[in-house]
Amino acid sequence: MGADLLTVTNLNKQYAEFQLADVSFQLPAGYIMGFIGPNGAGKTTTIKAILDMIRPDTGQIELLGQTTPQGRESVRDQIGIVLDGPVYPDSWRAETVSRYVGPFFPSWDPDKFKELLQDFAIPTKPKYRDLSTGAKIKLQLAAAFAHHPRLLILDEPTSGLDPIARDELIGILQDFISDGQRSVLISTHDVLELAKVADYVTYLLAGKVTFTGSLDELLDRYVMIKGGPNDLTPAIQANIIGLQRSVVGFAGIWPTDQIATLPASIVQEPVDLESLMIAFGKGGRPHA
Amino acid sequence: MHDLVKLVSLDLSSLFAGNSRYRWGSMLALVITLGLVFLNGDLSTPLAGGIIGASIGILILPFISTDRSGLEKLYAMLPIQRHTIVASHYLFGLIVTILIDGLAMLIIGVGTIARFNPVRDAQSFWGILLFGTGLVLFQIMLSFPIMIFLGYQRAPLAAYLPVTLVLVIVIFLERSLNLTLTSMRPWLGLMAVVLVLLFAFSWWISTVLYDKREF
Repeated sequence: MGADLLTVTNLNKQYAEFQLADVSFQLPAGYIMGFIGPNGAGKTTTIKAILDMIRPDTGQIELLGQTTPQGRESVRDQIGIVLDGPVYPDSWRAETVSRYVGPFFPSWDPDKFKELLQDFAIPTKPKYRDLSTGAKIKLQLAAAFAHHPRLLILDEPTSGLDPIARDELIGILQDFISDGQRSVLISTHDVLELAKVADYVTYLLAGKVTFTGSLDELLDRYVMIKGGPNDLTPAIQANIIGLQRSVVGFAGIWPTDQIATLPASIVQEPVDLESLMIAFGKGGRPHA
Repeated sequence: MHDLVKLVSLDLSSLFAGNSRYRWGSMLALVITLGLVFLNGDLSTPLAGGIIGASIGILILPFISTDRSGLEKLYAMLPIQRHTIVASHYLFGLIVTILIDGLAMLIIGVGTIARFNPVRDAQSFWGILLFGTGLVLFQIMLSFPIMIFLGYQRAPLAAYLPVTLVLVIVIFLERSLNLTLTSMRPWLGLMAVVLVLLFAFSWWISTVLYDKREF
């Protein structure tokens, strides 16, 4: 495992109705980390703190070896960033991005940018305001890759992308980390695509880190259990996560280290990332 | 320094990009103004003053563009320091000041060769130049810290209120104290020094405020 390209330690940020509390995780070189959680969990807030768009109340952020805001600002030429929402002036065209943004990056590759415009099928004639949501995201992606960054920070890069474009992006990300020196932090709701490519996952819920570590480790921690209506004992009901009840029985997520407490009639199946996210999002409340 | 130049070009792109109808409309307005002044030199002073007043709106274009387009997110992606962003806005302001001065001088200059009532009074030339420059610089000094900290959408009055206040104060002082360029001449050096110090203070305040701003 390479050195950590990003380390977040005990990040705290208080707002009137929301708090980011003791968020900590590490992203080593050569890996893709999925940053997941329901809407309002604090993913974008954490990314904004990493990019110094907001100032945390307490905590430390080490980005490519830099621990101060000025230091982190100076290494942004090694980071490719995609943010949610519009980021360029409405009147810009695709080529304008290369003209005005490219000069800020010493390693900007205009040929690579043009190649990515073609690969992503980004129209070059319309103005930015007239591009589709997907095309706007793809334009940001092209700019993020065009200066050969060491670290990619992507906030909802798959929103607005069609399945083919999403699949293409996954392939590009896998190629990106293949040299073992570069990493990707990707915040997304698209856990199906993420599960294909992420090595690490940090799961954020209500401003707190519920889990951070390898995806395999996360999936090994839980199992999907299913049983008939009579199998749902008070003990199971009290501890099951994301209980789903119907006339034929129930299902939910159960910690692997408590399997021994389950009766033999309960069926156990491997869990997937999407089921985990749904279960944690429901917070263990029973749903019909 | 290179980043500063690139950021200023970003601000300038908000001037020259956008709908070409506005660009052509502005050019047409200028041509009409010059035409009117060429016909009647008496129009040069009020039209130069009017152009200065209207052109002050140019100063806030980058802030409008930033708010509407989410340019603060673009800044977050670029390897630049926050104080460089502030410096670029102030440098853009100085460039606009020079542009506005140039326009005003052009109008007065055409007025000197007007067909009827050509401008013969050099004082009006210098008066317009000093007044226009002072007005634009005051606009920068007063409105930039507010717009840099709050953004245009949260503080639209900051774009227009300072110049209005300054105009009211200047007109009041001129009428009540009978100020003329000749009477102010002994104080021009001191006024220039005060202006420079206030400009530097405004720049410093903006840097401090922007460093604290969250997006």
